[in-house]
Amino acid sequence: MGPEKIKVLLVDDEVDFTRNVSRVLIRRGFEVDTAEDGLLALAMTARRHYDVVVLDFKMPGMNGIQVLTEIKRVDPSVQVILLTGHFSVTDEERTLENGAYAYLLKPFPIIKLVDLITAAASCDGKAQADHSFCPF
Amino acid sequence: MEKPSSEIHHVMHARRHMHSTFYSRLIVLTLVFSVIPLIVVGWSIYVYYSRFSSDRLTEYFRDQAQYHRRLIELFLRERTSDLELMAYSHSLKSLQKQENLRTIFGVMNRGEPFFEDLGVQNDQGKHLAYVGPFDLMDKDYSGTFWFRELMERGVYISDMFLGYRGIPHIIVGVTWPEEDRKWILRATLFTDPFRALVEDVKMGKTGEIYLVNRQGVLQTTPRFGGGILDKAPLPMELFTEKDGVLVLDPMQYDNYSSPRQIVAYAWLSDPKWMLVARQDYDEAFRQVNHANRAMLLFLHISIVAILVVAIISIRHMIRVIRKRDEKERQLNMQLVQASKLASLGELAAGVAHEINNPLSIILAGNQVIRDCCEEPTKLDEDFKSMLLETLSQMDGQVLRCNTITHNLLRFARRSASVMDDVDINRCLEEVIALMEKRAKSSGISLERDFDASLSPFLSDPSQLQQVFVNLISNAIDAHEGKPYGTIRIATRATVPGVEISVSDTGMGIPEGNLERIFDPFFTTKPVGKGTGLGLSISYSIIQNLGGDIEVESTEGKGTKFTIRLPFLSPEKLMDGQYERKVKK
Repeated sequence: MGPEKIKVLLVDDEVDFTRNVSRVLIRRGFEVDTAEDGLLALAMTARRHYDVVVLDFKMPGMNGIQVLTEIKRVDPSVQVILLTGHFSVTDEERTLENGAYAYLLKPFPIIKLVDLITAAASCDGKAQADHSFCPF
Repeated sequence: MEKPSSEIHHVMHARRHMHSTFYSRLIVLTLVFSVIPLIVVGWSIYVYYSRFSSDRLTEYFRDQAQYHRRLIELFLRERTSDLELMAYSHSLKSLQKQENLRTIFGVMNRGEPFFEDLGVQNDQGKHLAYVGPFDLMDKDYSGTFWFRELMERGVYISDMFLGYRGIPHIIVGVTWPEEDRKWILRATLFTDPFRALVEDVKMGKTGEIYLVNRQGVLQTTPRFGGGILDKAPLPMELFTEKDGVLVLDPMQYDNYSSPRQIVAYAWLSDPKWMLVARQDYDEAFRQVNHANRAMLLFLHISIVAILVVAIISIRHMIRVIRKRDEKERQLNMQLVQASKLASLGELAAGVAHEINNPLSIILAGNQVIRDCCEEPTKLDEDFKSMLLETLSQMDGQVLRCNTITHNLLRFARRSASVMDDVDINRCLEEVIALMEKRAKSSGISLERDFDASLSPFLSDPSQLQQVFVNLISNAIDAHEGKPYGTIRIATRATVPGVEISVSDTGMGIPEGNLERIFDPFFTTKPVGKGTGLGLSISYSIIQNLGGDIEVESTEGKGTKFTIRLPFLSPEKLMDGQYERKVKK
């Protein structure tokens, strides 16, 4: 048996986005599940362990920060990457303070997300300070 | 975006109209409540005082006439009494003797000589005895008017007449009964002491007193016009039987050349003469008129003074109000500008967020396609490379969109100011160093006029520098088409903070554009050269830092931007609007 597949959960209300990203990830050997909102995501993380959860910041119902907090409370070893279309200093601080591994500003080259997920999965669970990424 | 500037213009026009209405209203109020009452009071006092004075003067003239009348009456009564006393105390027999009559004549004239001659006559008008300077013993008086009157009345004082001697004189006579027949004691008066009683009275330069008889013949010589026994200057029709005071206009009698005059007259009881006291009206009223004229002059000066003071103070007031309104207008414009920017910020944030999601989808989709292309397929290599190239171009376009949205976001962002101590002069020096090369190549010199005493204050240095770069860059662009120019950058301490000004010698801004230069996307530069956001961003940065930015411009002469920044109070920093940079 080869190296264990990295298990990823994509959470975003934009279905097209999660479908495209999951195709890219699956092609690269990740095991991917998708969820459309925060509640569903929490239910799925409760059912099985994911190495990395990719969360959109703005979603109906619970927002990214709330979901992040809840996931970290249940299982601190889960790495979380936040996606946001709207940058602000306070968001950045809150995100990292709540234990996210990194955050990405939309839009971004998908390859970058792939790299980040790989890095997060190999990380021993400690959040790193400077993983924000602005591609432009 | 809605343009409220036309609305503001409309408001200002209405304000200006309001100011002029206000002005005229205040003037009218001043007129109604101070000038008009002053005129009314002034003229009432004038009229009242005039009437009062003229009453007093009339009274005075009446008194003068009465006084002199009484004087004349008294004088004539005394003379009559003298004769009566002699007739009563002597018999005809003794008086008939020339020596006795001479003695009596001497007694009567012993003090002041009033009598010129004295005669005793029988009831036929023949002299029985006579003492005097004339030879009248043989004269027959039975036909004379005075003889007839005397015989009829018993006591008689004649009018002034010439008689046999040809000199104006007055005869006083009394009759006395003896043995069924009347005899007469008659005397002629010296006219001088009598005439002196009225002729010597002088009232001012034009005043005079004279006596006339019923027929209007002068009994004394007036000071002016006419002699004794001439016709009196004032016709008798003017006078009534009762005493009175007249104000005569020249129209009322035929002597048109004489001026207006005041005339008081009083009738003597016996003889029936009239005493006239008259004076030129103007002279009599000179003092009254003088006082009145002074008062009128004072009144008019007061009115003029009130008007002048009112106009000056109202003008001043209007100026103050106008200044305040102008300030308010500027404040309103700034408010409109600020709210415009705020709403634009919201819009930009929304747009950016909405665009970012589809962009991410496109990017993700691209990756899927790219991955497909990597699969070993039957596609030929040419198609594959073309597809990949196109996809890369799509990536490029997406990233360009992204630049726009991020710029918009940066423009809209208001919470991310990083506060630090700013040495404004050094901050400007850095910007100038950055711009100097560009300026030099356009033939423009940068002048510094820094206030060295400025102490560092808390602000956002990088945002401020962004503003200064914007302003200086605009100033350089303003010199396009000019061979050389100057940009002056000045700093100055003000009471609550600092003032930074950037003035250029460029083309200036047309007045119509002045109001719009801070509007987002407003630019006069050619397409592709300016985004129209520079001044807008500068404006919002300065607003966020609690300051304000102002522009003055003269077309063709140059433009001056002035930035005022306050020293921020710690409380303002605490309320979370600004974040203090954490020093590590």
